[in-house]
Order: sequence, then structure tokens, then C-alpha cells
Amino acid sequence: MKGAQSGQRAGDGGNTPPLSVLDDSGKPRPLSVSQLASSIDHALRSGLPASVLVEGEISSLSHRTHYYFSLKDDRSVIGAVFFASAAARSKIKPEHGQRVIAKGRVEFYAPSGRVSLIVTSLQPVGEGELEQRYKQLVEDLRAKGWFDPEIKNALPSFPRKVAIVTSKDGAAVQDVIDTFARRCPSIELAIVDVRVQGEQAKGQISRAIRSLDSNRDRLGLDAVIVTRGGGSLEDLWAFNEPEVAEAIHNATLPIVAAIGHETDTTISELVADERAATPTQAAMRLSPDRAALVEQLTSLRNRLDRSVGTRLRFEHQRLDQIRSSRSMRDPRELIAVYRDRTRALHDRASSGLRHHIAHQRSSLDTLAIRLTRVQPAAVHARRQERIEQLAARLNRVMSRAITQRREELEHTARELHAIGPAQVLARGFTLTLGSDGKALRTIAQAQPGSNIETVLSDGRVRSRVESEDEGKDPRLVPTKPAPLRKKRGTKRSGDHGPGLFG
Amino acid sequence: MSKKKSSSASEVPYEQLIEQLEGIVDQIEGGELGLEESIKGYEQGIELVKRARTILDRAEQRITELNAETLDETNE
Repeated sequence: MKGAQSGQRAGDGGNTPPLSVLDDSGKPRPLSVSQLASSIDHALRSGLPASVLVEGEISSLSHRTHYYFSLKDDRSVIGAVFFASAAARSKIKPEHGQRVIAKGRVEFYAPSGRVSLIVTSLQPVGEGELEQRYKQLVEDLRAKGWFDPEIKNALPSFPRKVAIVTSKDGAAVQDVIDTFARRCPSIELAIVDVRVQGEQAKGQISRAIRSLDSNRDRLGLDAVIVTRGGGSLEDLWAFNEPEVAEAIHNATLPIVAAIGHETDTTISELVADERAATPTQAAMRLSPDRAALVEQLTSLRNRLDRSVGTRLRFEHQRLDQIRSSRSMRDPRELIAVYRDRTRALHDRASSGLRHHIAHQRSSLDTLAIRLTRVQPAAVHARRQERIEQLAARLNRVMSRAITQRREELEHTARELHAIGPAQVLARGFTLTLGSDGKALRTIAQAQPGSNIETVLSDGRVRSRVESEDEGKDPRLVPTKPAPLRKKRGTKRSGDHGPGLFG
Repeated sequence: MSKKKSSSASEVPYEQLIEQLEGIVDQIEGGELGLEESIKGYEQGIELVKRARTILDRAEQRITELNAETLDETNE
């Protein structure tokens, strides 16, 4: 207060005329206090930017509904008010002696005649506490491997149902809904309304994620989007809380996170399976382009048709080939093939067998020959052969002897015939037989009155004996050659004479 | 509403339908199947195409709101 007064005093030394209003006669009239207050307010507004950043130390702190304190440095001091609405959003609460950077606007408060800084946010001086906490948490979770790409769940390319964890009053939810409606309306959406900033946010967000994950089957969920629109670091802070990060990390459902602006990276986004720059992009990651899917499906359908068509054509051709083959035209061809094959096999088998038999036989012959050489039968055979040779010789000798005898016999027979009774009769001699049929050799045998029979060369004459005369007929005296014949004949007649006719 | 929900939950995911369909087409194209199996596969494929097409052609967007604590549907 003192400082402000001295400042005003310093302004009095200038040459500018005093601020006043003119009356009807044109004479200056003093301002009312309210008029002055209004002018001060106007001067402050036009002379200072709407928002200033002031660094100082907090002192004279009082807290009822709102925070009242002074910001001071070593030479000056200014009053400050931190209204409850702004303080609720702040990550740090004002503390006595704390060095801070206060952001706010300068106002002249007429009822108390004071100039005050209306603080909209507070940050600790140097590196902010939140930044420190953020960096520390990132380090911890990175060390735990929570950001590793390998542990990320794959996003479904065509989820059936997606849950959206966000504030239903924010702009983000509408972006998500619109994107799904445009790209793939068949995906069902489930909105889970949560606080996305303030004290309750971290609890609500993490609980929502946990219960969605454990009820994924009942709800038919395939993915979750966690999203929030842009804001300050303080606004987005819930998404840097370890509790939320853990819920996202433990979830088996694929989670896409899009928190704040693209330049902000919250821990939730680092832990999530996929980070998207904006809510719209998060929705696009989970909504396939329907047109592209229709094209893919059509192409698959065409491939299916073609594949079966090709197969059917192939089978037709094969069938045609078989039908037109020789063996189908004439089944005998088919049989012939098998018959030829059978014959070939048979030939091979029998030639093999023949060969085998021939071989066996030849060795048998060899053995037989060797056997005949060593066995007594061979000796016997040789003897037999000798006997046969001798027998043959005997036969030859014997038959020659027989032939000789037979020729001699025939010669004798011919001679005998030449001297036989038939020849005698033919020469004119007769033979006379008595009644008893015996040849008459003496006249004594021819009694007169008896019947006799005379044999001639060509027949017989029967007659009766009248008489007989003794004495030889001269005609019957033998001629010269007779002795030879007689010799022989005598010889013979002595042996065989009576038997010649008898 | 509950009827709708259960039907969508028991529905085979689109990706699975497409995977099955691709598998069948690959098998027929590769000549791994006999003729009868190919024709059977074709019939199955056509059925899968129909089901996938039904999912794609679903036009109305279904949005429900779930209570963050109970996950019950809230009626606005």
C-alpha cells in the first residue's frame, strides 16, 4: 500500500494538467472518488497487458474461501488474490515464503481502493514441481519396461465395440463419435463419462479402465479409447498419475490414448498400446475404412469364384482326357496292356525257370557221366555188350550153316524128283496094283481071275487076270546111264523103295 | 437393447471372418483340396462373404453410455 502511494506521488511532479471534468461554464471541477477509481482502473487496463507473469515470494498469506497473499521482492510488494475456482485447478497451493511465478491480471479494486494481482495460475520457481514429478515417473516406468513396444497389445483392425473413456461434456467425445460415424458406423460405441481433470479424475479414469477390462467379454468390447482435449499441464495431470498409468498397463484390452494437444505427451499415452495425436486420430486407428473393406471383400469373393472355376475347368479337362483315351474307347486296350505285361512277366519267369532247369540238368548229366565211370554197372554193361557181340557172331555162323544145309536139301529133292515114279510113268512105264491096292512085284501076286488096277501117267485101267507068264521082258534091260541112276536109286530104293508110293 | 448387445457380443469378429475366408481361398487356389472339398470350401466362403457383408452394411451407429462405476447403461 505504501509503495502504491509513493508511485502516485511521483506522478504529481509532471507537467500534464490535472485530470478533471469541465462544468457548463468551462471551469474545471474536481472528480468524484468513484470517477478517479474508474480512471485508475481504465489506466491499468490500457497500460498493462491482459496477463502478466510476476515472480515473487508469497507473504501475508490468508486462506478462507480464496487465497489472499502478498507477492514481494526485496523492494516492492503487491497484493494478490487466488480465487478458489482457479486454485482448484492448480497443482500447487500457495505457501508462505514460497517463491513462485504467478500468472494473472492487474486490477484496481474500487471498494477497497487497492491494486491487486488476480492470480490465474501458480508455478514454483525454477523447474516446476510437476515437471519434476513427470520426469521422475517417466524414468521409473521406462526402467520397468512399461513403454516397451514388445508389451503393447495389437489393435484390432475391425473392432465390434469400442469404449470411450472421457468426459461426455468435452469436445473430444464428439470428435470420436463423428469419426466412427463417417468411417465405419457399424462399430458400436460405449461412452464412459469420467472427470478428466481435478482431484477425482485419476480415480474415475483408472477405475473405469479396470472395470471395462474385467468386463470386456460381457460388454463385447474389443478396444478402449482414453481421451481428453487440450489443456495446461495441470489440466492434463490426471493422465500422468501412476494410478492411471497402472490401470492402462494392466489392461488386456488394447488401449488407444489421445490426451491434450499433439505437443503434450502424458504418461498415459506412453503406457497405452497406441498413442494418437488427437481424439479424431484415435478413432481412426480403430475404425477401418469401410470402402477399403468392401474392396477387400469383393476381391476375396472374386478370388473365391476364380479358384473354384479354375478347379472345375481343370477337372473337366482331365475327365475329357480320360474319356478320350484309348483304353476308355476300347476296354480291350486296357486289357491288352495288362496282358502284355503279364506275358512279359511270364516269359521272364519261365525263361528263368528253363535256364535254371537246364543248368540243373547239365550238372546232373555231368554227375551221371562221372557216376557211370565209377560204378560196377558200367563194368556189367561192358560185359553185356561183349556177350551180345558174341551172340551176334554165333547167329551169323549158325544161319550161314543152316542156309547151306537147306540148299543141299533142295538140290537132293530136285534129284529125287527126277527119278521119282511120276517121271517113270511119264516115260511109258506102268504100275500094277493088286485087289488089295498093293503094287504087284511078282507074278505070284497076280492070280488069274483076280482084278488088278494098272496105273498109267494119265489114269487107271481095271482089268481081270487071265493068265501069267514067267520070264523077263527084254525091253526092261537097263541102258548105259542106268548104273549111275541105279547106284543112286539102289541106294535109295534100299532105304525108301517101298515108301515111295505107299 | 440387451438383445442387441448379446447378438453383437456373440458375433464373430469381422477380422476372423476375413481370415477364414482368406484361408479357404488360399487352400482352393493352392490345389490342396479335393474337388468335393473345394466345392464345400466354396460354399463356406460364400457364407463368410455374406456375413462379412452384413457387418459392413450395418448403417446405424449404436452408441450407449455406461456408468463409470457400475458400467450399467445410463438412460439419457
